[in-house]
Amino acid sequence: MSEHDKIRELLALAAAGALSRAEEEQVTAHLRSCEACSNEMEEWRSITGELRRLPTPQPSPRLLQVTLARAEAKLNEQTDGQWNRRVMAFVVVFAWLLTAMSWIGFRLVSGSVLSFVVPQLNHPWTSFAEFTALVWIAGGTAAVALALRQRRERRLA
Amino acid sequence: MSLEGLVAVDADVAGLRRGDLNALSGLIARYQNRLYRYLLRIVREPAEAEDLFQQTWLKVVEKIRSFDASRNFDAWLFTLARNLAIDHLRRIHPQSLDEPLADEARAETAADRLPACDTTPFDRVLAVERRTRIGEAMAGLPVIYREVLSLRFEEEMKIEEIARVTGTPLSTVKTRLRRSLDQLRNSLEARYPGADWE
Amino acid sequence: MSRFTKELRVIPAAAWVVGWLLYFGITSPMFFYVLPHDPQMGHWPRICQALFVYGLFLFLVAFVALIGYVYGDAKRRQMRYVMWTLLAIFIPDAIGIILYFILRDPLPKPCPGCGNLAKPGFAFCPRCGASVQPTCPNCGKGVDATWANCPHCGQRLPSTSPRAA
Repeated sequence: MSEHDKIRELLALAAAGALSRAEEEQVTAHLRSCEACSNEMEEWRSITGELRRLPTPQPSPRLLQVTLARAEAKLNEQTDGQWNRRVMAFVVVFAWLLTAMSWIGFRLVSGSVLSFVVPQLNHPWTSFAEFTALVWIAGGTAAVALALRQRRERRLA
Repeated sequence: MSLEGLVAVDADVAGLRRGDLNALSGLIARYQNRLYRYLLRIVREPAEAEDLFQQTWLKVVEKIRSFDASRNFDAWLFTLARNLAIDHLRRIHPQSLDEPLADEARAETAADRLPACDTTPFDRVLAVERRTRIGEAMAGLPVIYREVLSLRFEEEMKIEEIARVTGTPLSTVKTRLRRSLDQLRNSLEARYPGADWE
Repeated sequence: MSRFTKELRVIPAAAWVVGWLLYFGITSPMFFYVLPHDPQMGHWPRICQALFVYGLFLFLVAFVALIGYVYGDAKRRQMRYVMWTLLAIFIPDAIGIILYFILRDPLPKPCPGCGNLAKPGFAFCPRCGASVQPTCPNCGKGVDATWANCPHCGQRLPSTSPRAA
């Protein structure tokens, strides 16, 4: 392919400003000597010039307001969701820590006070551990059952 | 976009991640015209473009946390919009996604098969009328060509940015740009033969 | 962190008062009388005993604060706050509190017409009838502003108006 033909291929992209520096220089150099290509280039430039100045279509005036309302609702929903997850995580950790602390607290109390009141608590550790385990299982089951029921109710409501 | 514009966008993006409503409204207002114009070029129907505009922003809110703040927000926003628009076209108007033909030479679309205008050749064509004709001819091109023309000339994106938004290699973008300009010009000359373009 | 401080204000002042009173009411006798006589911990250095007692019972303050939060939060969400507060207190190991957070109702939104705080499920204000929530144009039930279709009747929701009414 001759150089003239090659340059002709690049003219459209040159008018679009999409050529590399080297290619731009090639084209500019060729255009200085070739009138046919210069005319072509002018045609391309007028088209790309108009493309750059196409009128901007306007959306309906309420679009901004409506989009903002919907997007804000979604943003609030997400922020709330994040916050609730953090709170849940904290409360669960707290509940476990509270359990551990209550064992220690119980140990403290049973060491001195409780032995006066209820002397037949022979194995305070094991009975308390059983009690705690029972509470967690019962509470956990209740929580799961209630949560499932509520989610079902919310879906139907 | 100017430097202050870019800085303001970054501030708004950071605000949006924290859940600031003012940041959200700032972003939407800033991109309102550009985003709507881009979507309109792809789907060509104002009502659908408005619907997609809203959906894009809902997606932005959903995915803002996974957006890497060091990246370009423009490119990310337009990529989201593009994906929604292409999905929409696939579902609602599958026939409008006519793929560009492999043949480089004159590729006919339905718009080109319109009978040529019988206007007498004017020596001077009003700039506005010419611009309208170019806009109309552009609307007749396949969606891939409309898109690259819009991104290059209306959004004034660099070729690298267009490559990122469309998810195609640089060379493909250049090829599409060239073919789209060729087809646009052929379409104009077919419809308005002899019109003076200078 | 402002969300956190906003939520902290839900806790009634009485809860803080009770919490700190209990704290000092229990830790001081513990530290001065009980611990020194304990067979194992009595041998610890005093500073360790102090850290132990004063640290451990901080949990008590947190627990009382959480119960106060349940009270205040259930009240503003128009739930049965007395019942929930009692559940939070008496179900051991804070499981009542966990249950509360799982099951609590969403916050009520004020009516744009009369400012009445209606329950969050309603689409219209029970006092003045104004539309509180967008409704489906087909079946009339309340829908979320971000939804594309009505979950009750399947109608495609118009996206260009937040209020279908």
